[in-house]
Amino acid sequence: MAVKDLLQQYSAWMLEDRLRHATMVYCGYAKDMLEPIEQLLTYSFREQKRDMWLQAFQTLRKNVAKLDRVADYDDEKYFQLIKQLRQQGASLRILNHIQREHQHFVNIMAKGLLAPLHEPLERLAALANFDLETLHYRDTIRRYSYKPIEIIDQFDYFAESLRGTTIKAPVFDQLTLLITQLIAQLAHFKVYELPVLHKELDGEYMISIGALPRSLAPDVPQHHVCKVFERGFYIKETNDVLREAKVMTVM
Amino acid sequence: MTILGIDLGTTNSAMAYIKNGQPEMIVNSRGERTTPSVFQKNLSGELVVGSVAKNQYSSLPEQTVLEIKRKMGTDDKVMIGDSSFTPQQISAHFLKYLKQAAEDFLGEKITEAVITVPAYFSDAQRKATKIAGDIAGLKVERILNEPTAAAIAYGLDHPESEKNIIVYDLGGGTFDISVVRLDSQRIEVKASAGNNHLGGMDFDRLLVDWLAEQFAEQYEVALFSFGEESEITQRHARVKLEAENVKKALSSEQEATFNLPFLAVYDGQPLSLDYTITRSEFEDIVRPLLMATLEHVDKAIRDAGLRPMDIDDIILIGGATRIPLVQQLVEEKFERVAKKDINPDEAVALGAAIQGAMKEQSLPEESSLMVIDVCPYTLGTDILRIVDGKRESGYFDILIHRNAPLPVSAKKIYNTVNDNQTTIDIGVYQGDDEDTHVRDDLRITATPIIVDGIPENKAGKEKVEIAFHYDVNGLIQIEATVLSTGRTISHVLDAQRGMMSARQVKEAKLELFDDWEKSKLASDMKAVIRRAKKVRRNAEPQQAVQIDAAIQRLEHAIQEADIELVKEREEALLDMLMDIID
Repeated sequence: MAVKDLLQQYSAWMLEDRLRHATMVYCGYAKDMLEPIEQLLTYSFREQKRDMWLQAFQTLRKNVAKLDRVADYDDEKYFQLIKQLRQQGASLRILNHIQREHQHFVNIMAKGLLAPLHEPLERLAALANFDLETLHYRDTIRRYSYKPIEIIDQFDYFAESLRGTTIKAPVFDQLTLLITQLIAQLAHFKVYELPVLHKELDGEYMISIGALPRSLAPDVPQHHVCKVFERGFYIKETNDVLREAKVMTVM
Repeated sequence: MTILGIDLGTTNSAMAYIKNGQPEMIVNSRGERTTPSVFQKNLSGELVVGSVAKNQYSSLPEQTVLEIKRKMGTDDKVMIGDSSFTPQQISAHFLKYLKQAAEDFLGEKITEAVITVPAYFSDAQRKATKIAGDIAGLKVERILNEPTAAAIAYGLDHPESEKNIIVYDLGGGTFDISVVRLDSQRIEVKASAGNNHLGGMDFDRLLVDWLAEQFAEQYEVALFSFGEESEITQRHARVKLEAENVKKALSSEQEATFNLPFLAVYDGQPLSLDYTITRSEFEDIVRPLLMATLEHVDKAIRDAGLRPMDIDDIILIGGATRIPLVQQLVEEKFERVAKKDINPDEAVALGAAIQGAMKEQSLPEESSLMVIDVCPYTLGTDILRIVDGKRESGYFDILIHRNAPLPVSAKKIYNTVNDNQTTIDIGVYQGDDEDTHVRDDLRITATPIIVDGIPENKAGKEKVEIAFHYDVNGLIQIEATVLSTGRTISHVLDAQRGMMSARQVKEAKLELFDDWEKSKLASDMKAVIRRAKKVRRNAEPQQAVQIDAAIQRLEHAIQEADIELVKEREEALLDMLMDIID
């Protein structure tokens, strides 16, 4: 393979590995969240109801566990690729650049930090003179963030189910806070929630699933979002909407 | 000059063009290969089409128009607020959107198109489609039948073929079947049939019903009967989406699961639905509807004068043909394996693009095909007969039989029935070969065509020759000649139901241009308002109030669609922002 092709290969691996890293960090966080939620349920319900909700909660536990199936980081393939680059006569500048990027990412992984995605790829694309589009950046992020977003949906549905119970408001607020923190972990994928609540309906970012009578949401203006049924998300670096928010507005 | 191929669908539309001798799809401004055929006047008064309109539909049902294709060729007007739209105008907005997207994609001006319509579309519906193209600024090179377009796309890939094929088109909401004769240089549609109200959406509905039944059996309560109104709406939306997913999964898997965690709380109990449906259960549910399509298949084959064994190839188009049972039933019927090398969602647009390229002769000679369509209906006029000595009107006299290859012309001579009769009225009707009487709802002309100037004479002495000409675009011309004088009256059926006069078309063109300018302006203003809101975040409280007021004034002007006022207020807002930033 020519130097350009090898660098393109490196970029594709880099993107995938960083998203795998994001999945692992996210999954670890989601697992950590399960403990306090279980405790909230235990303290909030008694006997039969408690058993019922804890049993329902197992669905979430099971689905979070499914996420934990991400391959480990394979250091070896990078060393092989760097070797090949040397054999192909890649410049010292390119080799230094690659080694620096690689080391930087290893440090990030060790600390569980946010790994930059777009900038290093842009630098590599400029260095090797290839089109970033060939990496299918948006589609790759979509593929990796799909399951984590699905988990957030499930936490939301669970919280929504609890809303109709006798659970106390502060407990519910705590649960909401935990979900908000889980959503923040999507930053590892460079994915963020679309802020749509109380905003005017906009089909670019929202899908309406219905409208509620004014009496049910008197403080929200007409045609504004009064309820988010499924959160929407976008990739911050490219401003691409990954998924529109499903909302209900006021008639 | 590119001639755009447009599949103007009931639920979705698509477009294609020819690149290096091969048809290719064109994506719209959102990167989508198909555009929902949804039209809407949004909250700011802008006219929007496509996904954005579809996304807002549930909140703005009264401002949204779906499936306008079903109303093409009628006099119906669609009211949105104070504005009234004809079906042609709404279709023109779809076409304008597609034209614009194609121009952005290709970087060149598009002025010509080939537009597809269902084979069963009447003359009025075809003309309405042509007018919609005209309003959108497109010269419609040809109105092409959808199955013909699919056959063309197939024909280009199989130039060596010489065979009878059937095109089985099961889309989101409609079903069409056509029998096509494909020679090395020629495509001839021999017969067409179908059902205007059958498609993939019906299968989704049946799956939702199935799930509701399972739920009712397990919990002894109807799935959509409890909870607040908003909860039921949400539940319904989730179940419907999941039904679509399950249907798609069952096309490749032997079973699929409705996985709906925490769907509802009933009697204080959180309910998660986890029902698995096997492909064979799904097939049992949809089989009756699919069997009904085979009856239309039989009819089309009979009309073509063929037997199932005469069919050499089967082309499946429309998303719902991905269902394995569809393939199985059709393949069993013909004892043939259906062709799988054609994209069911894109074949029609691709075929239209090829037809366009044939017109401008931009295809290599070996790829050129001659396309012959058929007349989808029997056409005739109403006559008076003497039955048992009594005069009885309303008899259907056929001039052109269903499935006659186009172009077709037919003539018949009729007599006067009264002494000194100086005029006769020609009513033009659609019907079927077996019909004996005309049906008023199938009359093509709004008012009869009057042939006057017939010399006074005894009943039966004066003869008038009536000729029907049906061209390749499916448009009808009527000609009447008084044989004794040679006086000829020619009528292009421009006074048909749902038709617009030249003046109306011109006005609609200007209106559409104006609407688009206003919508573009509103969209430009959104960026200005966004910028203003950004500045507002860091502004002093007093400045924030001023910005809010200026935004409100601008939004009001946008809603009023007063272009001059919008520009004036935009300028005022921008000046204010500059002052604040300074």
